[in-house]
Amino acid sequence: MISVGSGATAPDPLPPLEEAIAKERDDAASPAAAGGGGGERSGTQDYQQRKSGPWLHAWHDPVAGMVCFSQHMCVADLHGDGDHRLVLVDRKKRIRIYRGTSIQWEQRLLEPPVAVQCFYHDTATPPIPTLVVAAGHQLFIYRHLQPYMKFALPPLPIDEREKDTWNRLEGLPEGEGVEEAFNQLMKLREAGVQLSRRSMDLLAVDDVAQRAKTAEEHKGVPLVQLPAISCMETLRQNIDQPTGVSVVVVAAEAFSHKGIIFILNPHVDKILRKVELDGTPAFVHCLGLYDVEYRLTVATRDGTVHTIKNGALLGSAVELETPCCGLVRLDKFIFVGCMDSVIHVYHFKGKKSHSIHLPCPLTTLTGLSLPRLRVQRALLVTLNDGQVRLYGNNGKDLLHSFSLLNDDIVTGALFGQYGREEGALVLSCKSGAILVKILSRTSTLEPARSGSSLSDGEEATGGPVPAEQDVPLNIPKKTRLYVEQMDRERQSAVHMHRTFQRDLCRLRLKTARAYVSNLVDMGQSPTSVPSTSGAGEAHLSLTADVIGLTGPHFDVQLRIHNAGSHALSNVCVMCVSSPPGLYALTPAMAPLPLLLPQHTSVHTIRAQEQPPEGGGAPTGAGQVRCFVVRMAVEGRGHQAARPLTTVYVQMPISEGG
Amino acid sequence: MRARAPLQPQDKKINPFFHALSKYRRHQYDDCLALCGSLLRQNSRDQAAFVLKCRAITAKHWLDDLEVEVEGLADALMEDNVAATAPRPGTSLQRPLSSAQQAGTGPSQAVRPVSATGRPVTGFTRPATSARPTSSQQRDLITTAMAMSARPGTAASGRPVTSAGRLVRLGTASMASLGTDGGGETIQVDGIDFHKYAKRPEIAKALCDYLIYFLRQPRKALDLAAEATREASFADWWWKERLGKCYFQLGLLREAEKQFRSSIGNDSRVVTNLELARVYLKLDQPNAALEVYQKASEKFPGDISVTVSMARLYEDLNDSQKSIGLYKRVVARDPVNAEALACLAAHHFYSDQPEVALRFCRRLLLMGVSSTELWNNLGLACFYAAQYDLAITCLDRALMLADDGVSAEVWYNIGQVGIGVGDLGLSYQSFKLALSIDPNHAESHTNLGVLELRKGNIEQAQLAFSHASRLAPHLYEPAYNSALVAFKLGDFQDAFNKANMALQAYPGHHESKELLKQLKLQFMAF
Repeated sequence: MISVGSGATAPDPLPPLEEAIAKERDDAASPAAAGGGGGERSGTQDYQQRKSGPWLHAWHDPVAGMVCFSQHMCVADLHGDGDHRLVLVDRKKRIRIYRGTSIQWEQRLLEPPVAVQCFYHDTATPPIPTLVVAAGHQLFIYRHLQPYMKFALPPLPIDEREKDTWNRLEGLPEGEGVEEAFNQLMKLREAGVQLSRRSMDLLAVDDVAQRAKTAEEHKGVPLVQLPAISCMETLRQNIDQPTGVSVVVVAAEAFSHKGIIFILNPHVDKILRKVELDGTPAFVHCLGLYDVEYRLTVATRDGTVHTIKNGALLGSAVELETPCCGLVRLDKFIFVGCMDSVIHVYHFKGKKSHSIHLPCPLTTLTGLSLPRLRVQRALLVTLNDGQVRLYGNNGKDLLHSFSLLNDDIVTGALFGQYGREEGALVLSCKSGAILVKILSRTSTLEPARSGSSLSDGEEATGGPVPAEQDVPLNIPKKTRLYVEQMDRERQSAVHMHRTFQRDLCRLRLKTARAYVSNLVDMGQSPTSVPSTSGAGEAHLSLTADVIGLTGPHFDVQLRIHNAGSHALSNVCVMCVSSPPGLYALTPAMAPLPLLLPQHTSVHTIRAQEQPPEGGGAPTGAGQVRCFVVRMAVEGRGHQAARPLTTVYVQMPISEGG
Repeated sequence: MRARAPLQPQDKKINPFFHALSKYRRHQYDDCLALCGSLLRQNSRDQAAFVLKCRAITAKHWLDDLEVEVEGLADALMEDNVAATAPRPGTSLQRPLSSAQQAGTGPSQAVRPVSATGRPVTGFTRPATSARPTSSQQRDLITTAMAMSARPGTAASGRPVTSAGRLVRLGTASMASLGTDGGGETIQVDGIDFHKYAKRPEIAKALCDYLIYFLRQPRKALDLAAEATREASFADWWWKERLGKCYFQLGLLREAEKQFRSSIGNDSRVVTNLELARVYLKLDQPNAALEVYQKASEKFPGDISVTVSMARLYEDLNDSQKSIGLYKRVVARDPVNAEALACLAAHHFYSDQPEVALRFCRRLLLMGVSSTELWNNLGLACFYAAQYDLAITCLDRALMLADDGVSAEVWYNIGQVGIGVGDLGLSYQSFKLALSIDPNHAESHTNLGVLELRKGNIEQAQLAFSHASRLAPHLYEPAYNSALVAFKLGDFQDAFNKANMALQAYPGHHESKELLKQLKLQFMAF
């Protein structure tokens, strides 16, 4: 894995608005930058960072109310006047066209749209593009902002036997024949026939009564299977120019787990080509010219990436571990964003180049392509935590990253010409906000090296050097005392060593003596050493807690853990207070239930402090000694002389009755 | 100048009052009380003797209540003086700045152990001042309060101090002893008419102190002080200060604050400022307390008690840089201030400069402090500063001086030395010994678990770790260790839970995060 280079900057200190605009105007040094709708600097107070890396903040509308995915956004010069418009559609069946910072046109759509594209259908002057919106199985074509035409994809062929089954059902009254139809369809499915959606619905119903109802609903409706469009792209036909005529590539879902790619002519009235493939297409990317040579990269919902070359599906497909959630193609590389926060980079021939690991899942993946720059291509990734990252050098270098404020997440991103500005990035956010940023003219899409201009305020950490190397380690200063002590060590090394070894031996002896005396006293501690008194594998450990604040009632809670591998039976716990008579213990002796292996059983003993005999002064706290003993069973050996484990519990001082 | 002749026993011409006064000055309070008693028996209206007796009894039982604040269990649990229920970090003692990641203030939790309140272990235990548990505790409030109000240094199974216990019991105990002491009878205060006394400020002041410090009856003292301050037409700072003190002891913190403020307005003294700051601390407003300290330090530049209190407060707020800076200032002025020296020693020890810690501990030793804790710290500092010949002797001495509870810590440190040397047998025995003395010592459990793991007793290790994390959920080591063992055994669910617990205790723990990442990979593979 190639490590991701750093280019992340600390944000610049916030200059006041007017100063920043004046500064940017001076920097840009061209009147075109200030003109045009996209150049308006009417940012709100939230976005106080005027300049963030290579991105200049242009416009932010936090209450636009349009939540769009990348496929729902498109920029085009709809009126041929050089002022590109932004076309947005959203799932609320609206289509909106923005000019500059204001809405130019808004309309309702008939169906929730899936994708929107703009392309040129002929070479007229002035060149007016067509706007096509894909929804359901139809394509709606708009020209001059007026609905122009509608094209419906042809229905798919349904198997004859299925048609027969449904036809038979038609004639029968309600409730009859449903079972036969059901079985028939089941057989067809097992035989591998692709069934229509209606049949799949019927097969999915478990309840018999429900089945009859479902069948009834579909009666009278002709059986057609329409393809459902999932994404749409345009492919230039013969000239590789922005105003060149294009064909429309539509990817649709045919039957379940089967997809079809349609290529339609520029006038959208004829299907030029049809390619079938396994798996429902989710993302499509086009490269090349239709008339000459073209490649389509299709990512399906089940995690495969297919390539279609010149209308023929290539055999080699890329299999992904997790489903794909973004597809971008730049030059010779395919970037596939996956759901496990990784972007895999493949050569277009199918060989994997490298992967980019992200800290959190990604939401969109867009490619940047600016012909005027030396380095033309870059990759834009937006993440689930609001970050927007720019990668260069085929994804090997992180050029820049910024975060959206207010915990917003980008749902759709688009890079293209907006207004008169060539390198504009349009972001649609989850909160419904729209954000437009412009790639500054002085920036190159290269990692910052000394002298190179990504932006002021950025450290020159070019290349794959991670930023963590610049942070100094927190080593304390060498003190004079330290040096003196080192000197002492050097001079009296032998003496120090001898003393140390002698002391260490003495310490070992002392520790061992204390340890042995501890053991011999049969465990002064509540966590005593288990005794292996020949009682078999009796590994018990016993701990005790005292519950009770002030007394005179206390509860001693014993936790007995059987650490061995056999269950232990016939054990009981006996308690004695010391000094004797200080505490009245109930129960003083209690049999324990079967002690399961690897199990802790809890046992409570109530201790009540007795007032001293003869009314003397309270003697203070004492101890309660608990023993776990093996009980003698009738006719089977004698009672063990030693308890299995012991615990001496120090009782707290009670405040008297 | 004639030399004073020494007092002869036959010299009975000495004025007994003068005698009593000189005994008082020499801090021989019992003798003084005896003499005053006899004077009062001769003439029960002898005001001077009365005043002297008050003063003597007060001085005998005087407790610096700025230093000693005993918050009982009931007070800790039912604390409703706190103003904010969800304070911002850094503005309340219950939510100090989240530990060391804040701009690198001090070593992280990986290096400096954390006590049960969630703050780094301090160098100097003060009696129950910083007893408020932080809000990041897993245990419920009662267990933490119980563990807190147990006297520090004793095992957690020690008894909590009930409300105002120490103050009350001291009073009662000494009353009892006074009864047997021939000379001094206690002064009956019930029948005293405060009006009369209020007109005589000298007597009234002595009586007020007597009420506050000996009889521990702040109510009566309050009445007296209220009368007296009215008599003094609200111009005497002393009465207002005493009023504030009484209100504080009665728990009426806002009134106490008012009185202290007006007393400062009259005549600002160090003591009043410190008491005002204490009121704010009780109200859980550390920033207000800091302001008071700042003003006081401007007015009395270089005063040690103010600096020490400020340093303590910064330590409670987890801002160790400022705290250490202030302690250094204290040491510069007062080279024998034990608290500052101890805190500095602890700080340097945990910031990887054990030789500096050694120097501070040596100074404490030279001062004559000779306790188990100090020898223990000396031993550890020597060991980590590579002065091995001295290290073990110090630890030995620490063991010798140790009484019951603290020797567990010393054995634990001996175990650490053993691990450092490589003698695992020594470590094992030491940890076992530590546990035999204090069964609730979670750190020994953890280390014992690690040693068992090395020997291959996996179940025992797991038991030890689970025991340790049950005893001390604020430690991240046992949780992480048992997560690692569970992971190696294949119990991913258990490992996941334990790793999350470890991260809760110490959010910056790198290995736990790595473990969680690996676990996530495992879980996703299904």
